[in-house]
Amino acid sequence: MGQGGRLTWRWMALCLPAVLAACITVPQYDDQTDKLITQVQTDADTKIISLIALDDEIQDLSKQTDAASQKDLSDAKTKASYRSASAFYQKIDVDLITLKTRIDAEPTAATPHLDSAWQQLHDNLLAPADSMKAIHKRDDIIPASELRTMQQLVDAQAGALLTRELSLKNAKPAQ
Amino acid sequence: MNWDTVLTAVESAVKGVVGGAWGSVSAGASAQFAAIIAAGKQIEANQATMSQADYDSLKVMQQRALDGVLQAYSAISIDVAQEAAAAAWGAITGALKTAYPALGLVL
Repeated sequence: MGQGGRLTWRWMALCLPAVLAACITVPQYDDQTDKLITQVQTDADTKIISLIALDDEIQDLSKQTDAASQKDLSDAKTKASYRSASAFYQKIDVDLITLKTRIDAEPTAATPHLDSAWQQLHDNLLAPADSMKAIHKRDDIIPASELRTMQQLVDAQAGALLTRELSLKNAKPAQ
Repeated sequence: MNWDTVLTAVESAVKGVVGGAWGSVSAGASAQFAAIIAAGKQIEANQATMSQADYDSLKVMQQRALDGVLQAYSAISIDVAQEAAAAAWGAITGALKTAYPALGLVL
């Protein structure tokens, strides 16, 4: 190999790390992902808070014996039932699928972590077993104490996803 | 039960698994640590009436949540997040078993 050839190899060796670094996609803040996470949390929180209020109402009305209260009790139980929540579960499913599509649209080093975090949030809300939907389907009315626990879980999980996304906005990726 | 002590045990259990990544996740995971403590209080308060199925669902959902929260951080691998979630729940069940040896649930 001549001197020109050795120089070429030397330059390639020097430049290779920079070229490789440029090929690794750095996670970027995405405004749509931010909004979609917030949408999931808002929809879930709104429904959970509504179900908590209904269960509180059911507990109060259960102590009354007059006809009007019994009618109100029946109405509250219907509103709190699994059947009445089917539109909510469909909406949250769409919200989550849209969020997953957005997360996966531009894969980065953070994507596998966000996918896993997304999966756990999805499963806690919608999995066929051990989820808000499964418990609602099994028991028909979820007690307020359990709903408060579920709300804490959803808020913590959505909060972690949001914190991760916002850390990218502030150019300080979570390590 | 002293739930502040249990919270410290939960945090120590997670810290023991995630090691050097603890500094990155401790603040972000604090809401989930609070949720796990709330779950422990729920078991304590309802131990006479809670069914095994209810307990099992609570356990799975809590572990999923902490697992998901930790997995949001790039410094923590998926396996480590699962191990940390199990360790956190182990701290809760350890405290419950100590305080209530005759608890009628398979923890």
